[in-house]
Amino acid sequence: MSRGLASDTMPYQVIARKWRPQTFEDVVGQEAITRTLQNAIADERLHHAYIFAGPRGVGKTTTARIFARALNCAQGPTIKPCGACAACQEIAEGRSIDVLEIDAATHTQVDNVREVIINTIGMTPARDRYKIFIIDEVHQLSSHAFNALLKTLEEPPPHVLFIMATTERHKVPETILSRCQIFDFRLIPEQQIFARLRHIAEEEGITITEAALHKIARAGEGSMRDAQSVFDQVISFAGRQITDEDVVTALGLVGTDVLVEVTEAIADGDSRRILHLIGGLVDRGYDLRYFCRELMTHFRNLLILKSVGYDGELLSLSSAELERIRELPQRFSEGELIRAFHLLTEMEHDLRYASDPRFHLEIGLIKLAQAEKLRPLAELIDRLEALEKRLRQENTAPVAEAVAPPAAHPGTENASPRPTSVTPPSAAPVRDSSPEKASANSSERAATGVALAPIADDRTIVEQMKAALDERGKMLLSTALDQAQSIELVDDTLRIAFAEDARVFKETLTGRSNLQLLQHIARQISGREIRLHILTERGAAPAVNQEDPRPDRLRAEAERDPTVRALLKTFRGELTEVVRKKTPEDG
Amino acid sequence: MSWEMLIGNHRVKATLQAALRDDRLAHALIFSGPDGVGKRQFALALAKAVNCMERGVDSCDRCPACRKIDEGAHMDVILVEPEGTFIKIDQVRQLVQEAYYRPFEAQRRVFILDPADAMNESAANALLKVLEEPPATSLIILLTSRLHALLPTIRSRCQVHTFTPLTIEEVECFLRERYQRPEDQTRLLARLSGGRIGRALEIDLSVYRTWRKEALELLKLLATGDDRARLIKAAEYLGRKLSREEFEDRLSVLNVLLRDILYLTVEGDEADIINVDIAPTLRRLAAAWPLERIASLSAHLETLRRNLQQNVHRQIALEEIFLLMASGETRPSTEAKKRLLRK
Repeated sequence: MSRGLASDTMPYQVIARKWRPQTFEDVVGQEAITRTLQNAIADERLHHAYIFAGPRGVGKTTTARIFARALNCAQGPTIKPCGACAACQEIAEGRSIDVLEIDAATHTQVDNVREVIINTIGMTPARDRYKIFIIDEVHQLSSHAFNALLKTLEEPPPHVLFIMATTERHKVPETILSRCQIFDFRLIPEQQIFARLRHIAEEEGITITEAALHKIARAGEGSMRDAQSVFDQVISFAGRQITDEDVVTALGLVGTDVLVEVTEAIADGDSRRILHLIGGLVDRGYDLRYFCRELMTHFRNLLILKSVGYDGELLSLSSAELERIRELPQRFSEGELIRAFHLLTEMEHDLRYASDPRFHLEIGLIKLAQAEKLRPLAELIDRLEALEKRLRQENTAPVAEAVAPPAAHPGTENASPRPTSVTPPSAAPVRDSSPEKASANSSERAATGVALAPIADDRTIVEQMKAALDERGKMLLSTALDQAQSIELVDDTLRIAFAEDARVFKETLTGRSNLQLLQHIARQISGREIRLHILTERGAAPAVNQEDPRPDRLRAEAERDPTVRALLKTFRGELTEVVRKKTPEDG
Repeated sequence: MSWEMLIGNHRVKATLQAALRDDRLAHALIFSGPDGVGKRQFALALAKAVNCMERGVDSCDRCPACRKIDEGAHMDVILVEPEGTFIKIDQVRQLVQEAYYRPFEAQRRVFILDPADAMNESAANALLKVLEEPPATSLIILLTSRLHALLPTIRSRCQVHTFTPLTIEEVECFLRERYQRPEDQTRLLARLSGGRIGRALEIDLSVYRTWRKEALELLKLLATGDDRARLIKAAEYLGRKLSREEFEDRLSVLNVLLRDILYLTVEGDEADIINVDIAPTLRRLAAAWPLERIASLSAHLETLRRNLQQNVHRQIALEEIFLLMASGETRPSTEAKKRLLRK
């Protein structure tokens, strides 16, 4: 609307402006939309209000203008505006009286909408076919302004057409959206941006390598205008002969070389070199957070090379780049790469807020380098510590269940019904079936130094029993076993305990024929006579258990308690600590 | 100030000069880079170059236009700065309106927004259309130290020029020419500035030295970890007696020292450290501060600094950090401790 002042001198125009498409065919990457619009024109099935939504620089305003020209062209309405008639030219220069381009971000107020749109809408077009309002950045209108538009949008006079463009569709009220036909503009594929840039380069007489042009296209991140702005910048930096190097320098891109050097320094644990490399980046004015992001991408590439091998779809690397990094993955284990990737992700996030990003990055990368060097040792220490902790726990609190790292006992992980895999239970004291459950005899185990001895796992036995039951079609029994509060094997007795309220399952198992079946299966699996001791927990558990039960079990119990629940609900409280009250029964 | 008077950032300078020479200057520019490296100076130099009556790539600095710009009195060179915290939409609306007028006396109206990231969202949105297709007589320059804080829609419409910190030599040279200072002060200032002349001019060295002394003392206490009582007192001082701003200043001094120690540990020489004047002291400290401890202290402090926004209890948080560090498992070897105490 206010773009009216035509200039007498025509100085340099940036590429994005000079090469703004003038026909539907020129609009890149939005074929679905341009075709739909062309069909609408050809079939004379026009809607009266359109919304063009989508990210920056993908062709919304451009398409809106072309559409306006197509409708108002002297030859039209046509799918190929002539570009020569008065209407076409005036629209291109933004001074048509019948096509009003409104900057909604500057004119956000309801008064603007009334004055410019609502008051003029009744008038017929001055010369052309339609009166077209192109409202750009429409999401910036105030809510009053939007509301003032509603009626008009719903039933405008037949000669009026609205085209609204926005990058933030979610900020446009539903009531507006529902009255419009909506077109979602997409990000433009890199290849199409590349092709367009190459076309421009040829026309402008600029010599540039394909690789350099690819870098520029990629820097656009799906936005044509971003890519063109970048192209402009490179041209003003390097002139008409452009090399790869120019693009890297002008854009402050991080070259593969730097990434490779940093990676090597990390692999070597060479902190000194890391400091020098970061110093170099700072001197050249790199955005360190951007660098960190590039390094992440780089480690991702390494990880893919390591674990999948070369895959063109997963890796967007030129062959030269691939050649540079091909050897690198061999210097790390897969775990190390994942860890590095993880650390970099964290660092990238922290860099945003860091008071001194450079120091932050330096420390982070040095830590990474040192860690890679020290890792095996660190792992050993961790394991040692876990072991220590377990021993200490078992000595001090007899009931507390040691939580061993599961990896320490690989055998327990896969339970299969093969009797041969079971260590005879008598060979060693027995572990509890599941770490959460209390066990009656853990003090006994602690005394024998359970941590170091190979452990016969009753979980294995239970799993095998369940599998055997399932095989025989006795699902009910195996389900009942699942409900047991604890199952443990002490010498030749398999003790299966149920909570008081799960009494029904106990009764299922103790049914005469079922008991015999269980005994039979247990014997088959362990290869000797097993006595079954099935009971409900409260009566059978030794007093010591009640003294210091596992807090999480206590908590679960408390959470079930109706009184507690009512209390929590009424006072909107939450359970912080659960302490067992001493009762005479508990001793 | 003509181009040759500008310090540093040769790449930006060359690019702008080339653009002027070939008449390829874009209509909307972003100057992005740290504060205090001369972005505004460059913008003004560009304003002069396009408006100088002698019409060349460089400005003459003699014609009325150049002189007026130097004095900040030119009608067509318009500086837009925050009113309060933000550059508001009304300011931008006015800019947009003026951008469509012809210049009063110059060839091109130059609008300089400093800092452009101070525009709130609606102000930034209001600028979009004019940024994309300004009249031929306007040039808009956005200055920012936080490029990514600008809307992507703004960035996409501008040509971005990235400014870098100056080299230490460049800053030293500048300071020497302008001010009469003892050489050791010039050296320290240049290093503390981080390549930003603006910063170098802000620093009061005597205050810095006092703070640095405190910070060194603290690092020493933390290294030995013996005198818990004094550590707690230090936490009280830093945590309660100081205002938040003062505290943050102290934190950054501490950070600078930690970084120096890191460099001494890793590099072994003093070439790249900032506090060159106290290198021997730092060296002694470095023996007591292995890498992991530097990393862990700086991580603790960084977390604390971030939590300041949530009004964390500073004193308690500091006590925790100090005691943790003092009793940490990465304590210095007794050897290093002895050397520290011997001092």
